[in-house]
Amino acid sequence: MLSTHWSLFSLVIVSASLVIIYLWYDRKAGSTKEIALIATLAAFAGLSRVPFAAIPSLQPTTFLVLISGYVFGAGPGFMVGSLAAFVSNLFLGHGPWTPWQMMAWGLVGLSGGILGRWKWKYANLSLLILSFMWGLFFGWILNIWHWLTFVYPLTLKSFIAVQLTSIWFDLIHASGNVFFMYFLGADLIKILHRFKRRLTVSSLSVQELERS
Amino acid sequence: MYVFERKEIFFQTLHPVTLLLYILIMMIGTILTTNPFILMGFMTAVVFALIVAKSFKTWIRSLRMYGYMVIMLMTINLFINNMGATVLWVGPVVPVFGRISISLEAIIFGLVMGLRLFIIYSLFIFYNRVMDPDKALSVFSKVFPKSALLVALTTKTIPYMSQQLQSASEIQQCRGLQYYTGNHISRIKNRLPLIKVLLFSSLEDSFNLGESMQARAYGSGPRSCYYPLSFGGRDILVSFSSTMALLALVWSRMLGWTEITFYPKLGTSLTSKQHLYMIIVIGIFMILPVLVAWGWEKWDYLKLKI
Repeated sequence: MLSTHWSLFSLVIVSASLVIIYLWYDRKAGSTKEIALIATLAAFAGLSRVPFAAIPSLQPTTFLVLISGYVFGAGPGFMVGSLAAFVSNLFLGHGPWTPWQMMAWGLVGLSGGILGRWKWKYANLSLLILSFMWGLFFGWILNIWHWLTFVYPLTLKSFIAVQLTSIWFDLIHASGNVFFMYFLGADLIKILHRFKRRLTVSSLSVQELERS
Repeated sequence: MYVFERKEIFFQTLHPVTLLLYILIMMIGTILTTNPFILMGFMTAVVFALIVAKSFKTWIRSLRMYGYMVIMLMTINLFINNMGATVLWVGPVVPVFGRISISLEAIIFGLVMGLRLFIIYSLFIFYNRVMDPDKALSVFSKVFPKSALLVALTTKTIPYMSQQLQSASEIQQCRGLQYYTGNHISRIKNRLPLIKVLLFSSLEDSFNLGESMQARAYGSGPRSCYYPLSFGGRDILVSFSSTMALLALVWSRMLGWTEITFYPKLGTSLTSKQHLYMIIVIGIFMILPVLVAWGWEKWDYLKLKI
């Protein structure tokens, strides 16, 4: 039989996981400031798709989502990425790519969060490598659905052929990410850390207050 | 800037759930079908729907963009596949892919896949035209109140932020930075500090926003709503015909009528008279909402009644 059920199955899987993650976020109550912060970061990442539109797939969105996840954690990182994809598509037009973009950018934020939690000595280097890898992975994730829906047979050979059609764009994306990460990464992470410190609430016990 | 425009269009007056049902069923139908006759039924429905929604010109314009994708996929299918029995041309051996051969089946397969891709892209042009994001969001907020707020906040921030970007870049230009002259690299390099400025000021604003939301008692009671969404006669009509089309699709899928075999030899796309009737039924139920939309526009009596 043809691959028609795989195509629907993959769409259902992706949409269902997005729904579950959004439901989880909805139940996990954050403060109003946190909501506003996530919305602003997502808008920032989404908007940054536009000014560099002259060169296809050169945009700082992936990089911005990655560092937001790196600073604020995996959950907010996922939300920033998926929201940026969804909302910027309200302006650029929705398509079958919307759930996949939401998923891919969400995963970018998630991986940034994991890297941030896992305090490693070579954080800058690993961010650079991760941003390069995501440039390629992002295109591959977006190609999966086209491969599942319109190509037969579903073999490694045809998968590689589909990925080769977009390799040029993916390479531009990856090197753009490295470029942004190299020139802007440290500065923007510093700014984000500053706002994270302002968000963090630490409670002191009464005795400690009286002592001071 | 915004993709959506509010116009006097029948589909825009529908309840968002109805509209979503109609578009989703056409979408799922296209994904699950390889029978060219059913696909042509869908194509006709979408094209007429686009004409009734007055976005035929947008569609024609965007076809050029999607044409690249369609041609790419058709080429891949043509070269990757050497399972067809009716071989038309045998080419040289290519290292990774083996011997390239083009068969009639692969050409037909590529054409059918191109048609499916076209229908799906056209459906999304239709979706972007008729689905009011505000209405969709108000339905969405019933299930995900917080995420809906997030989407709304993000959406409102984008135009505001682009204004800020504009003014920040004007200030920087007054200070002597060149954005429009010089080579590509220096242009991009001059733009980079803008990102820092914008991020800093917008994060500052986001804290003010959060505080003002709290000051206005966000989250202290049940949600209020801006406007009620009505579910009227037209919604019942469109939902009924989409549901009927879905049932017909499921039925014909169970009978194996929605798919045809391509390899090794092309199967028949019409097996019996009943199959033909089923295809006609699916087509009618998909086109019925479009006909109603057309009547709604031309016939005042119908406009009054539904």
